[in-house]
Amino acid sequence: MRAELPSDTRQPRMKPYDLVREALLALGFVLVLVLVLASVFSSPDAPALTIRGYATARPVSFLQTALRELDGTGTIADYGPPYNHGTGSLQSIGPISPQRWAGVRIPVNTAQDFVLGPLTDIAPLQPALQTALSQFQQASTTQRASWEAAYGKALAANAGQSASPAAPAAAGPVGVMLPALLHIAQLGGLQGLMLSSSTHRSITNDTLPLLFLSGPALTAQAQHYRLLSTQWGMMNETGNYPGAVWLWLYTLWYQVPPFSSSHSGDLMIMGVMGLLTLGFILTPWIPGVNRLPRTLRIYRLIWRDWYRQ
Amino acid sequence: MGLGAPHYVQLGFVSITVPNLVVLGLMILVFAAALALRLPDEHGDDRTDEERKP
Amino acid sequence: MSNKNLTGSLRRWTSRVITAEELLPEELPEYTRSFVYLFGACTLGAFVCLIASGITLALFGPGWWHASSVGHFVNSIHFWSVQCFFFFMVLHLWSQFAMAAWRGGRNLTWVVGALLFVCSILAAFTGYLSQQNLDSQWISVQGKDAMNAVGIGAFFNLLNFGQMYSIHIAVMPAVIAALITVHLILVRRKGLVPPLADDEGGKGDADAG
Repeated sequence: MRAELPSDTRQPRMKPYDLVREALLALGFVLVLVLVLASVFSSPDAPALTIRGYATARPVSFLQTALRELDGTGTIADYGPPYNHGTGSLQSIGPISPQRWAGVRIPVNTAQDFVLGPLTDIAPLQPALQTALSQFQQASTTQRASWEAAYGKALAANAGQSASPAAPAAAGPVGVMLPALLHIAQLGGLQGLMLSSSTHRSITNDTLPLLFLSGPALTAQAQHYRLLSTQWGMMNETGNYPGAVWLWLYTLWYQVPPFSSSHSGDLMIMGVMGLLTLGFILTPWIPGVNRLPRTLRIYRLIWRDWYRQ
Repeated sequence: MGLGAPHYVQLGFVSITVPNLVVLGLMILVFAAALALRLPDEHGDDRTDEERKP
Repeated sequence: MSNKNLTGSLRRWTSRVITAEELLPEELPEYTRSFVYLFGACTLGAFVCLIASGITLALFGPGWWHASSVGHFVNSIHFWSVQCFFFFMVLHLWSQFAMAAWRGGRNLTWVVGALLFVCSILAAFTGYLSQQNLDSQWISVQGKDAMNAVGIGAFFNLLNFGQMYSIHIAVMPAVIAALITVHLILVRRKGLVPPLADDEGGKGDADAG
C-alpha cells in the first residue's frame, strides 16, 4: 500500500481573514436564495390518499382489494416478516435472510384487521351484517372460498366500472359483508376503525391503513408522478420539483440486472449501498481512490496562485 | 393543489425529471465557476503575488 | 474518593482539544483563495435556514402547512433549504475530495464529514416521510420493502408517522448539529489542508519510492 499523497512543505504566509464574517455572509446569501426560491416556486403538496377517497373514486378496485385481504391472496396477506409468516415478499441471498431472522414483529392478519375486525365493530348497527358474519365465521374453509370466488367473479366482470356490481346469490354472506365494508369506507369510517383496532392502537401509526392502500390504490397515483422504482422514482418528487437527487446511485441499481430482475433486489441493493457507503466514509484509506485527486488535477486550479509562485 | 405529471428526459435506460436535471446541471456549473473565478481577497485586491510585484 | 478536581480536568481537556486561538483565528494561509472554500459555509447557512423554518413548522404542528398559506410558505422555505443544503454539501464534498483534504492527520475530519452526509440523507428521508401527503405515503409503502429486507422494518417502521416525525424533528437535528460541531472543531484544530506537493517535473513528489 502506498503512502498518502504528499503535501507541500513550503511554509505559507498568513493573510488576514474574518471567518465569522464569511459565515454571516454565507448565511445571508443562502437566506435570500431560499426566500426567492420559495416565493417563486412554492413547494409540492399532492393531497394524501384516504381509504374514503379510494372507496368513493374506485369502488370496484376497493372491493377487489378487500376481497384479496379476506381470502388471503393479497400482497400483504402473504408478505412475510415483519407482518406475518407468508413468503410472498420474503427476501434472502442464499442462507442470508435478515428479514426472516428479525421475525414477525408487527403482526398483521389481513382478513381480520382489514375486513372482519372493522365489520364486527359496526355489526351492532346492522342486523343483516351480524347474521352474515356469523354465517361466514361458522362456515368451512371450502365454503368460504366458494363464496369469495363467486363474488370475485362478479367484481372481475365489472372491473374498471365506476359502480359496484350487485352481489350474486352464490356469494352468500360475502355479498353482504363486502358491500357493508365499502359503505363504511365511503362514509369515512374504515380508516378510523383500523387506527383504533385493539392490536395496533396508536393514532399516530398509519401502518394498517397504509398497508391497505399500498396496492393498486397508491400505485396508480405514484405512476402518474413517476415515483415507481422502475421510473427512477426514488429521486423524483410530485409535480415539477426537484427531488432527492442525492439518491441517484441507490435508484440506479433498481434499473439494472441482476437487481432489477431478482426477487431479493432490495436486500442486494441495500448490501451494495452499505458497502459503498462504508467505502465513502473510509475514502482516505482506500488505495487508488485516495490517490484519485492527483489524477483529476482539479487541485491545481484551486491552488493555482500557490503553484505559480 | 393540482400537480401535473413531471416532465422527464429518457436517455437509454436513464430516466431523469427535468427539475432534477436542472439541479445537476447547476451543480456542475457552479462548481466549474468556483474553480474558474478568482476569489477577491479581504482587501479587494485580486491580483496574484506575481502581478503585485513592481 | 479521589481528590482530583473534575472541573479542572474538564477545562484542561477542553483546552487540549482546541484553544480559542485555534477555533477563531484572524489569519488564514495565503493559499486559501478560491470560491470552493465557501461551499462549507453555505452548507452551514442552509442548515441554519433548515433549523429556523423547521422550528416554525414544528411549533404549529404537522398539519399546519397543508391548510395555511403562511404555513405553506414556511414549508417552501424548508423545502428549498433542503435542496440548497444538499447542493452546497455535495459541492463542498467535491472540493474536499479534489484537494485530498484528508492529508496530514485530517482523516477523522473526512470521516465525520462523510457521516454528516449519511445522516443528512436519513434526516431528509424521515422528513419526506413526515409530510402527510401522497409523496410521504408512497415513499413509506415503497421504502418499507428495503427496510423489511434487511430486517429493520419493525424497528424503523416507515409506515409509523409518529416514529418518523419524532426522529425527524428531534433526533436527526441533534445528531447533525453535534456532528457539525465536531467537524468544525476538527477543521479548526488541524487548520486548512496545505496544497499537494508540486508534481510538475517530479519535484516535491516525495512518495516516488
